[in-house]
Amino acid sequence: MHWNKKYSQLTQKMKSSMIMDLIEKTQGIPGFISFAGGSPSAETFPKKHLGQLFKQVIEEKGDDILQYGSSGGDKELKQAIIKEEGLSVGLDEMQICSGAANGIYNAMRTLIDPGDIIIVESPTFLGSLVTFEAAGAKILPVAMQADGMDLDQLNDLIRKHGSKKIKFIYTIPDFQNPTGLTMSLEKREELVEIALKNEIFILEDDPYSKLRLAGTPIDSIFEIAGKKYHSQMLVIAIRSFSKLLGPGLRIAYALADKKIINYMDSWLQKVNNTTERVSQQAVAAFLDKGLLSSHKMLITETYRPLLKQIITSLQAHMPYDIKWVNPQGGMFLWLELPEDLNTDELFDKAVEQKVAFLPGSKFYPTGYEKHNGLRLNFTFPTKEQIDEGIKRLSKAVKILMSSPNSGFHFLD
Amino acid sequence: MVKDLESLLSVNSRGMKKSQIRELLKLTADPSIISFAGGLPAADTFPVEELTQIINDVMSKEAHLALQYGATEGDTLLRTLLVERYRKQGFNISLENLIITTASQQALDLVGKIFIDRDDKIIVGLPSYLGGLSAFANYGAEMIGIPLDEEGMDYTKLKHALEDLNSKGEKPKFIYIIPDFQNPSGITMSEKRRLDILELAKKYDVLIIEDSPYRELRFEGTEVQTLYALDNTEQVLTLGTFSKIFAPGFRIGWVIGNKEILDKIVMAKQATDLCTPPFTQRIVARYIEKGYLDKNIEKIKIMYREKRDVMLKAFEEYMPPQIKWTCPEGGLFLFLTLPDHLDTSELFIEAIKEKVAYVVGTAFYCDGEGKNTMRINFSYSSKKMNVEGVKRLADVIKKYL
Repeated sequence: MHWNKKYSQLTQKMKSSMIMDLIEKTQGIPGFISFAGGSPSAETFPKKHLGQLFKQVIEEKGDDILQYGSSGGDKELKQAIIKEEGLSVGLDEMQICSGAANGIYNAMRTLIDPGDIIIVESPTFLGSLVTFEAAGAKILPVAMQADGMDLDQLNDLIRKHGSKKIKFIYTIPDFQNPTGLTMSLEKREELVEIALKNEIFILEDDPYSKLRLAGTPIDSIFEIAGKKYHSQMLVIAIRSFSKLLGPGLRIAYALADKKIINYMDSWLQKVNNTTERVSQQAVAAFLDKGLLSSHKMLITETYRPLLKQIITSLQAHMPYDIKWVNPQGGMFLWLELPEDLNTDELFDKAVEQKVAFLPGSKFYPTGYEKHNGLRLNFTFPTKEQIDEGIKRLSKAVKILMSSPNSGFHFLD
Repeated sequence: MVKDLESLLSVNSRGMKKSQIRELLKLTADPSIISFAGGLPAADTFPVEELTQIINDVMSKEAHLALQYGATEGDTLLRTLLVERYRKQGFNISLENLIITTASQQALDLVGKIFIDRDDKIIVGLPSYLGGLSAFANYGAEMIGIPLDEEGMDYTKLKHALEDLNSKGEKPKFIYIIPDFQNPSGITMSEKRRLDILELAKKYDVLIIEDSPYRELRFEGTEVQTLYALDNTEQVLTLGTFSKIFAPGFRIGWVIGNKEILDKIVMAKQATDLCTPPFTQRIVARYIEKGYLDKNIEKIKIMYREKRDVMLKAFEEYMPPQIKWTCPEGGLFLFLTLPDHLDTSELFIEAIKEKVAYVVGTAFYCDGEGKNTMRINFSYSSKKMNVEGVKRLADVIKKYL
């Protein structure tokens, strides 16, 4: 059979995020050091507590929680989250979803039809780009600055395309993936004003704000919209336990207006029916026992020396022309090479040195790629691996810079 | 303040109909109601003891894998175990022919997504599984319904439909079939019918989606080979799930088929939920490895057979002679047909008053027919409640006759 002709039009255009392909390339090579992943360190998983809680919830309520559940999520978990986070939202203003990716999908389906416009930070999380492109959305980039997205550019885009066609602005305000940058309070407020004025939604993706390793926490866009502007109607916040308790659980949640949540629940029902329930109940019990705050501390204490190490190693080994902004938390750091250097080419040179990263071009919407950036994850390797890995990467950078067509001649 | 929030949403969302059946099902939440409405397995089939033991093992030995991100196509260990299981059942497949989904509902959604453009035609049974119909409707499919007889989807009518489309230069995207203990009818497709339909599918170059959630729950009669195994040329995509043989709360299912198609499904899945929880996948894998799954299936079959027998006996005893029902050889459901002039959605309100519930048959008909039918689940309630529920239902029906 000729399958190709049978696929839907969007499927024929669909592409994979390629991340897995890149990661697979480098797996199993002895002595290899990878900064490519986006995974939290497995050492931080609270396996002992979770193990006990899984057992407990199955013994206590197995008959119920092994059954189908409510599409919007178990109320025990919603209540536990509201209490833990001190949220002033109702149960119908929250959805439990199967990881943040699923929440983003449900929100997107609620808001966009093929051809609608989504504005994203540029660069941004490639998983979301793939999701948006697969739905046939038109994606327009706004450049990242040290204090978050360029709002002048955003206003220009809204003026140019009109607010009707632009359905939402996608942002990761804290320790953004891939840049590690954080949006300032002023910009968050201005962004809410822009959204309200133009009636455009904000999709606030927040997987990392709990991983603050330095500086002072900033209110989320969802909170600012409620506290300062008394209208959370246009903000959908996606928050996840993946980086805290383990992504393998696939437990995340969305906060939004109850009408929006109602639609998101319908999409979740169509796509997954129910979010897996044993994990929902175990996470609820974990929160009820008050275990999260000490666990958060354990994670930040694990990551803080790693962040310090990568900055020290970069300062020690990288050539002068390589730039970065030190992140105050999260999992990633973004390097920028001079514009005429290409990190897709650097990738091959780095693999020869037994070190990997993610080339920056993957983090831009199709047609807007830039090639001189790269993402480094600092939470997965050990301190020793970080230093050795950065040494190797610096060597690869120098080799690339010294190649005849690069314009740089370090090693000459 | 936004005045008209709805106007900012996608056309697709605004067009989403409140499912009538969901509204009706809300009425059945009252615990004093005997509900034959859900598609729920009985809670006493859940292997709580074995599970706690396995969770202990997994968390102490492989938490670093179980709690970490996993591959979109699923846990290799679980996939390998399933492939082995299917090879024993005559499937000529290898690892690349099987991927894990977040249960069957996701598989149905992803199948809809990768094949259907608005107004594309697909072929479904009259009646057919509501969750499938709704997943495909969601992508704007135009459904052509083919009635069922005792051997499954009517061959002659299917043939005519395909010929008719072919003469107009059209081709349906796929034929959706639940061959074993069909939801809602409980009917099993005969081997001859399976072979005939496969031949038609080949002749007209149409893919078959074989949805098979109940197959392993046969408690009577002779097993019929799956459409996939009868063919083994990748004309068929087969969907499976642990929901009815293990626990629906775990949300694990799978798709078997051509590698190229599975690649597309994996890409679409990546954009939907990245991966099915590696934690639950690993638990189920270890559960299968220890031989618990097969034991549990045997236990379920004995229970469900007894429940079905009790229910059929109660039908004989209490139902008026004008009422007809199917006698499934497995699965969870049977189907009741009332005289033509009765409407089961009118009866429903009365039934709720009498504290018994079912699913109105029209929900399963893509053409809006089936007004005089209803689906009855026999797996969820206890034997005693099955009898009591049938009594109540018979009283309601008698009032309307």
